[in-house]
Amino acid sequence: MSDKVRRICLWAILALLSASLSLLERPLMTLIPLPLPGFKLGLGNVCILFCLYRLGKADAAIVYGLRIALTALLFGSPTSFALSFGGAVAALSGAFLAIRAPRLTPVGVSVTASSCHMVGQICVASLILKTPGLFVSYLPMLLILSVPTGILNGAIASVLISRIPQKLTQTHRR
Amino acid sequence: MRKHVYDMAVCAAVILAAALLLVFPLINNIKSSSDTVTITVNGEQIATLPLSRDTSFTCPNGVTVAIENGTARISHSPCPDRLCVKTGRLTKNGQTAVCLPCKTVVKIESHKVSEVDGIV
Repeated sequence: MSDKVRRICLWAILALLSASLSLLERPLMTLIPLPLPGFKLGLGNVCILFCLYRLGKADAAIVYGLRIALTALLFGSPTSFALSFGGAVAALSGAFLAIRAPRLTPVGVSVTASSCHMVGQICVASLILKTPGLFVSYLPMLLILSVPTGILNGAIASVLISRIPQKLTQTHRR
Repeated sequence: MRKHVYDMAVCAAVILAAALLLVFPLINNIKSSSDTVTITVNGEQIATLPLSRDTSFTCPNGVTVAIENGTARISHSPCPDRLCVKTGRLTKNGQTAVCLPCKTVVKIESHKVSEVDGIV
């Protein structure tokens, strides 16, 4: 199988996995009595992190894009897509910067990405709803919650990144 | 655990940012000394007082307005049912306390953009 095809298959697998996790965790969130709409565990981000570390930044961006497209088309609205997109742009920017820091583990990168995601989402939400008050009413809570979820995702991704055989994500014929 | 020091630093930074965002509106409120209290008797504005300074103002008709801690209230009135006094504290732009028998209106005015469109 050629490298390009292999890579595309990996994108597809990871994007689908990420989307599935994303959609499956939603019913779970309704069981937890937190008064915050749009709060998720973000388990789908484990795949994005894995892709970032094992395949590369561009690949991670592609997988992320595919995932939000899938989620929005299947179970979303233009508004939810806008929010996801804003969050994705911010999260990826944060993650790309964070991964260059030599002393950060995937946990640190994950927390950076999740907090940036919150900021990005609130930016989009405040633009759509024209309420800049969201930054002080919602964002603090979301930021605080982004830390444990970021740690959780980062920890899971950490294990996957180091344990899954390199051969599975090898896309260069040497 | 040592390899997670920088991760924990990131977590601390995020929480710090959240704390700053929580504190920010509190600092903002203290500075809103441009808010004023206007006292109108019989349709005529007889006084405009800043909310920032604690004072007590008594109108010629006997209605006393007290400004305390950035809020205003009618503290005393010669009217029989004292509904105006029972209105309590006025805190937000646009809020009013009215004494009909004394024909007095106490209102909070501000240059700030209000976060609510109207107050009932």
